[in-house]
Amino acid sequence: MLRPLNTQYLIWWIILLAYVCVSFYSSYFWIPDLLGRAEIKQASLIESEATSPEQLDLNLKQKVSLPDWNSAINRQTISLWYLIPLQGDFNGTLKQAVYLPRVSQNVEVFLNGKWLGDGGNMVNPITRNRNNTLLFNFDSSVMRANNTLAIHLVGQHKSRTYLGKLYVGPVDQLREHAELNNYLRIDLPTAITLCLLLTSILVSVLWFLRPSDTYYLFYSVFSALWVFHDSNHFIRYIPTPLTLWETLVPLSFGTAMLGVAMFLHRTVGTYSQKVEHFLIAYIALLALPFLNQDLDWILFYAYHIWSPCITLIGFYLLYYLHDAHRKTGEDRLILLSISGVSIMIFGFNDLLLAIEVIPKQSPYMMHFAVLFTVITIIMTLISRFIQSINVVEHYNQELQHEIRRKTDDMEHSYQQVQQLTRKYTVAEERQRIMRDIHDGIGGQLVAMLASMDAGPVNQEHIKSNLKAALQDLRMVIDSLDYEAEDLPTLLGMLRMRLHDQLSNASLKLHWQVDDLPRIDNFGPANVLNTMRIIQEAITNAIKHSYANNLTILTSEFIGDDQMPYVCIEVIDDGCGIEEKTRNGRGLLNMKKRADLIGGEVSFTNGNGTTVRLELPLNKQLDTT
Amino acid sequence: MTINQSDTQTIRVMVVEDDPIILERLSNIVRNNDRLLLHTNASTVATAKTALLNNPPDVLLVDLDLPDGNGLELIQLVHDKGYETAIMVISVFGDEWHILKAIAAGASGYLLKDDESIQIETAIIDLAGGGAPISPSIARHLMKHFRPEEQLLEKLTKREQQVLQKVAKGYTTQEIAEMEGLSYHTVATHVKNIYRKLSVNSRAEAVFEALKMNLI
Repeated sequence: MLRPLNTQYLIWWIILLAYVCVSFYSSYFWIPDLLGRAEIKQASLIESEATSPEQLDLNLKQKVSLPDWNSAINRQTISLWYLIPLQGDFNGTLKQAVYLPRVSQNVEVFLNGKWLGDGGNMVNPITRNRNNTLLFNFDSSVMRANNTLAIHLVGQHKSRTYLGKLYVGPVDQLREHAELNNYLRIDLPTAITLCLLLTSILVSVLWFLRPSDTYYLFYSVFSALWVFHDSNHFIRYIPTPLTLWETLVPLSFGTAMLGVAMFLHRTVGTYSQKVEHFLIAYIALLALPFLNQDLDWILFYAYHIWSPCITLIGFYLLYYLHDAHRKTGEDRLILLSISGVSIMIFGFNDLLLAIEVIPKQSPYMMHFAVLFTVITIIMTLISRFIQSINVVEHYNQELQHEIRRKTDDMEHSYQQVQQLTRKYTVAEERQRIMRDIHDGIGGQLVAMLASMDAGPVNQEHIKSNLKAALQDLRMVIDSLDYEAEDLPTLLGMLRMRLHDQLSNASLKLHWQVDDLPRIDNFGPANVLNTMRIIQEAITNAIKHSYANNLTILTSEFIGDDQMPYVCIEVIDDGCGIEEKTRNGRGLLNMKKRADLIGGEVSFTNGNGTTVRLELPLNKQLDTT
Repeated sequence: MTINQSDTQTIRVMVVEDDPIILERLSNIVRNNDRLLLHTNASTVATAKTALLNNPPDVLLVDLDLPDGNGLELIQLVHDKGYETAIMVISVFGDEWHILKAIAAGASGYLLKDDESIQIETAIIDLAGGGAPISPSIARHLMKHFRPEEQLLEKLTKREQQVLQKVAKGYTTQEIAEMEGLSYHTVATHVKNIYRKLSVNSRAEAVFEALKMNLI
């Protein structure tokens, strides 16, 4: 299904069309024809290996018309002499020139037996002037009435040896033409090829920076191969033997097309591995005949079989791009398709020229396609690069937004959790305080009321009960003090609260409390329970032991489980605990409270009683 | 136990308490002791203030929650005027929150409202003689306040720190004096000095806070 042409698509097609028109116009028609009278159309031809006109056997000369494209191939030779008679009237213009815009490889020019010049090496390696114009100046003052211009044409292969148009005329006129020709056929392709080389290098740097983007690599590879191929147009001294050079040039073109295919596959992103493998195998198989290093064979094979077969890859790529564009609708593919079309158009021109379907004097035009392609590919890469940056920026913003949102969420959740925790803590603490008051002062007050209801009560009894209730309330309040989590301070506060009882008792107190490590997160509940256990132990000693001495002792030790413990001991030298009270409510309460704190209380009867409360330092204590 | 040097001198005591029964009880305790003289008994800040300014007593017993203000105002006033009056806060629970505030304002001790008469008498005479009662919990709080890393105007001496450490573990002033080889009076003076330093530091903090809030 054809997609409706969008404006961009249309614009690019128009640009391509204009570009093709301009290119063809400038290649074929831009350089004006020289006035007919300057052109020489007749010559005598002598097939000879001679190196100077004197050695020529003039009997062998035959009439030939110029330009002469086919004599060499027809005569199976690579060295030809052209003799042209020149009239001596040059309208008084002194500076004259012999101008050869299209010579297959090299010539040297003689006027009346006098050497005018050559286009470089006349023996192997013979200079290649295939696109290079040759201009030989001479002074008309040396002219006689009848003159002979002798041109010695040499080449390395008969099918690549020809003499194009020949002009003799005023040098100014001819030089201008020669310069234009050189500009179009040498300077422009050289500049374009250098551009291509530059992009190849730049893009390879990109690939080094981002090795995962393999399309950069394939761009550099195919463009480098193409640079090599294009150099054939303007290189005058080839660096290898001719046969090898004539092999490498078409090979570089074919492999460059394979590189283009791999580049496009990766740029588009979706392609069949199978197709790619097939293309590689196709190129490899087609390249095998090049192993036969026979120059005739190679020249034939390269342009009559190899190049048309490579053209098929071009058709495949056009189809591939069209298909990918149809599937994805990505506009950048249009650009690539259009540059592909340009390659096909200009490549076709060159192919036709190579296989001599069009005249040999026609210009090679592939470099125009190269220029167009490089521009479009660089534009594609730049737009892709910009797109990547935009995408990164977009995702970055999204990410930041997301992070902000998540942070807000987290903050909100955290606040909720905190609020709940606070609520829970407050509720828990409220319950605990209520329980403490209920168990302690509440019970004491109710009991007192009940005893007063029962009948008259001793005032001292009421007072002591009230004191006890107040003491209990103070202990509840003391337990809320954060500093009371410090066990020695807790004991100190207890000592202060029990001051009256202790000072009224007949026993002597030995206070042996030393610093103890703090138990983390001990909490008011545990503080109160610890206070009450020790209070009970002290009160018991005061009330029941008949002891003379009471010692409060703290210590630290490592338990059987290798964990650190702290220990509070209440030691009296009294009568010990009677068996019947051993299971009394007081002792059971102490055990229960010790359980609640995660500690253990033990009672030992020896010389008196030792109440020993052990608390683990590191164990997570139950704070309820 | 250290006995007041000026044994014979009577101690003029002012009692400020809004509960009439407690006020009456405390007044009676003062009246009934030969060493003590009831200077004024007041139940409001306003009355107490007038009496204070007229003639500052040796000892001021003051409740914090009064109908027309806070007892702290009176403590502050004594401090600001530079009177020699020793101050005791009358408290129900003797909890560190109330006591520390009072000490920071310039008080140097506290009484529990239900203390026995004899305890109250002893406490007043002790206070007038330079004593300063302290509880383990208050000692622990003070240790925290005077941590070495705190930037305070006045820091504790080694000896003062040792005294606080002992108090925090429940040792009595007498026991500390014996353990450290000091007199009872010296230990009491240490405590009083600690209180003074707390008050100085608290004032400095208050000034600093006020400056920060552009109040002065």
